Amino acid sequence: MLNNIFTAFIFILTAMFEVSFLHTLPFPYFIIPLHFLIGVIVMHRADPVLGAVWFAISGFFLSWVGFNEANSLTYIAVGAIGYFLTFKVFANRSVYALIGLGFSMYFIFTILNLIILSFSDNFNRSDFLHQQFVALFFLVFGLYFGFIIARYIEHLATDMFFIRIKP
Amino acid sequence: MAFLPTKIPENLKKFIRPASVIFGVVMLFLMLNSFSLTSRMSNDTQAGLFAVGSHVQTIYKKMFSSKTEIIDEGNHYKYLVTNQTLNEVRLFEAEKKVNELQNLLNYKASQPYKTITADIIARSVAGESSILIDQGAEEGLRAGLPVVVGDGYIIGTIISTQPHRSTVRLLRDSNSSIPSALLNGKKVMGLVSGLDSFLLFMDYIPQSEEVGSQMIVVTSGLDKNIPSGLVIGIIDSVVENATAPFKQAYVDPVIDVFDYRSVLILDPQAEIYAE
Repeated sequence: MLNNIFTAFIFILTAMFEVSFLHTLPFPYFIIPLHFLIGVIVMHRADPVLGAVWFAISGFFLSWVGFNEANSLTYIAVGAIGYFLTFKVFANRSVYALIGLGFSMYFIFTILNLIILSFSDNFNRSDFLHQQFVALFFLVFGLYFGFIIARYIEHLATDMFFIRIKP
Repeated sequence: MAFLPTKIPENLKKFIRPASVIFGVVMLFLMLNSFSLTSRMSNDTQAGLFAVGSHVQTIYKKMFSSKTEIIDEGNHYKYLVTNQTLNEVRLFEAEKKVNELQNLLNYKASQPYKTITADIIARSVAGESSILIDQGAEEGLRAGLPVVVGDGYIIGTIISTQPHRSTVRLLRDSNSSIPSALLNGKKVMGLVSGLDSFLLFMDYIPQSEEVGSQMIVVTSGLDKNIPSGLVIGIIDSVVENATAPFKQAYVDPVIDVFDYRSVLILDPQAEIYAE
């Protein structure tokens, strides 16, 4: 229960931080997919169910606190696919599995958005792909260091608050 | 009742609890934002984050400016590095904020219309060019109202409102178009629309009218929600085509909207809507 409430607050804070702070920065820093990155870490390190719910609500919530150029349905689809990948493909709790999971989810997220946003009049495909490529670099980079930070937080939480993370 | 399940499957149970907790907390957050106090707290949080991000962007722009500027400012930055760097930057940002608000206050005092001040709390980074401000329908805003910065530079119009937030479509957005006028000795009408880039596009300028670079473009007042005389920009270049029915020109907005954190919303029809 405590895990779930803590995850919900992290969900709200990272969404607000991404749309209000990161989106203010100049290129390429405004492309950092912080909310997506944290969602992948939650899905892989904490609980795949929490991660799937994270992505299911992300699209809607990001649109409310700021702007979300991606379609909400793509977030739901990516969450479901990520849940499947966590059990069947990237079940290992190594940093490579985390990066593989994040890379696969973001790749699928990009493809789905490319298909859906292609029907929009304002959509610029080359700009979109360029930004997604840069975001993928930040995602992999962030997941690597996120893995280290997540392990540190797990040990700290276990020692201080006796919160058990599911193996 | 016979068709209701008597036992929830184990596979489904492990989804229900975390989903309901996270969904419940998020929905509680959204419901609380319909109250002005909690909405003010979340708006202030986002406005603070936006201000910090703008601060970082300002420093980034200063650090990566042209080589000539870097050489000229070299001695100054050496001093900053060795003596109270952070205090100097904080003072610069504070002065900038004060000047920005003072300009808004001076402009607000000069206007005969109802004015509402708002902070920018988020901006779009792809697709539509829009910003989110921390005032909404409860504060008297509605769709179509103009949004200005500085000394009366119009940056966009409100397209949608929530109880305590509003979305502003910037002039640079390709879906944006406002009636405009060219000040070339007389008021020549046209229409300014966005190109999803820094420059704007002015169309429907009569062929008989003289259009030149550096001429000022303002709002014409044909839209009842947008008063006349709000500065849009200056003519950057003219598209010459003698066979076309109208002249066209590119307009330079002069200001960069993302250098500002506070905006002013004008409501020329406040008395009508108050009745």
